Amino acid sequence: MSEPQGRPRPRKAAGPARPVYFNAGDVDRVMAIVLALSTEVAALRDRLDVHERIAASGAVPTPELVEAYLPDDAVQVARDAWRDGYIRRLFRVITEDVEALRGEQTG
Amino acid sequence: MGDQYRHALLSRPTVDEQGREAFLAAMRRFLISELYDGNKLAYERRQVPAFAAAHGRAPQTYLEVKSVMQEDPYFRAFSLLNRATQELLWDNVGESVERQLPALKRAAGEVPKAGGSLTLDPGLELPDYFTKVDIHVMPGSFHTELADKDDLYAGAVYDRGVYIYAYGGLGDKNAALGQGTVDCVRRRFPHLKPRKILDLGCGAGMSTLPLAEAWPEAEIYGVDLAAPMLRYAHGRSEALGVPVAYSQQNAAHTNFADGSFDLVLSNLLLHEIPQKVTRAVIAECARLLSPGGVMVHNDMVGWPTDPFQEFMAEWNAHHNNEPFERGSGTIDWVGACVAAGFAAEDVFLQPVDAAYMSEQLAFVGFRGAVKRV
Ligand SMILES: C[S@@+](CC[C@H](N)C(=O)[O-])C[C@H]1O[C@@H](n2cnc3c(N)ncnc32)[C@H](O)[C@@H]1O
Repeated sequence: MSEPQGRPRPRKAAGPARPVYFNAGDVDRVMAIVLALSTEVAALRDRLDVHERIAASGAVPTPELVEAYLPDDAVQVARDAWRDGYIRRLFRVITEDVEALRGEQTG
Repeated sequence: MGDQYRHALLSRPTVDEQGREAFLAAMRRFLISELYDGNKLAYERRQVPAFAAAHGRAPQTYLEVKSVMQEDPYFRAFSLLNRATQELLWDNVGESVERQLPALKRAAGEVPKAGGSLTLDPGLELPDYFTKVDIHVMPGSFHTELADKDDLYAGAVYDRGVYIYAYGGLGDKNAALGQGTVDCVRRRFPHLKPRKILDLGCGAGMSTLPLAEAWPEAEIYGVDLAAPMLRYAHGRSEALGVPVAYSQQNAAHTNFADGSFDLVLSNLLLHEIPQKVTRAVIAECARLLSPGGVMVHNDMVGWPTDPFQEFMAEWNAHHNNEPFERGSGTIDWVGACVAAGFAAEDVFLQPVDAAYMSEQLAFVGFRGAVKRV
């Protein structure tokens, strides 16, 4: 239980407006970084998949076994499907726009 | 995306590199087959009405289209993702190939010989148009070498990078372009039995090898300006058991004798060179062909005139570092061939539906001519 207070604390300092640090071009850089990071997440997901499949075979996934692992067609198909879903989730805010323009339901 | 055919010179990515490449290939497919069409929708449903409200009419030139599209949030996001994917693609493939360079060089030295040859010309002058802009935003373009000796970096990056770029759409040996050219020649000239064939701007030889399959009796030659592409092409062809005589030469003036070839062709060369060089290449083809011989170039066959399509074509050329695309698409083909000595009736122009990226590459096909007997 806290003591009842008077006025709410100020959250904005008086003085000149908040400086703007980013310029046109900065959002581009952030998005490029997001895409690079998304690439790493996808690679990590594939690596995890290798680990799981080696473990499922009863072996211990050492770095050597992970590097030597060759995915068969079924594994590739499953990964392709995961990747497509992943990309759709990542860029939902962009595809939403098209759905709205088409007059489709978004949500 | 299926697996690329593992010939001895193909780079062998690590698990992590494969994961990145697979993601970037999936991004390419997503951009082209899902996001791309949204641009037209954003234009028609959002930007045309806005422009019309202000000007009382729809945009009439591609520059007017540009003025509204560059403000469109969807188009901006699409453009950024497209460019960033492209840059990541080359960077990731580049890193993977750089790591493997010693092994790839060794592999090139160890492939069993198929009987082809490689003739380099270290004194060959590389034109400014070729070295000033890295085509496809591929850092270092085709000519940059990472080592003083036996370098094949650019070729190895191109072979792997194109496969990912097309998300496997050119087949497991990246042969679809060359195969398309073969099919065009066979259909148009069913009686042609070429004994000697020259591939101009052959690059890594991906489109050269289908020629040997189609005409196994023929001697196949390939020329390119870029030594690292040719070294790789040579190693790759030998690894795949196909003898090709590769040499480092400018397609606009080669050292072959007059009338040496029955078929002279190129794949995706003309849109990468200025119009003036294209005219010189056509003249060189006329000189090199034997009577009845055929010249064919697989590339752009026009340029859109619809303002939106033209804007997208311009945009693609710009975002992809393709400064000569418009010039290549708009050249007066018949006039250029006639100026090079072909008869107007012997010139042909055949647009095709690019099944792969059909919306975006609406103006691709074959342009050629036959040398009078
Ligand atoms: C887009 S690549 C196409 C390579 C190959 N034809 C293929 O289908 O895979 C274009 C090639 O043309 C070469 N090139 C550009 N200008 C050239 C010229 N003037 N003479 C010879 N080759 C040239 C480049 O080095 C590059 O390898």
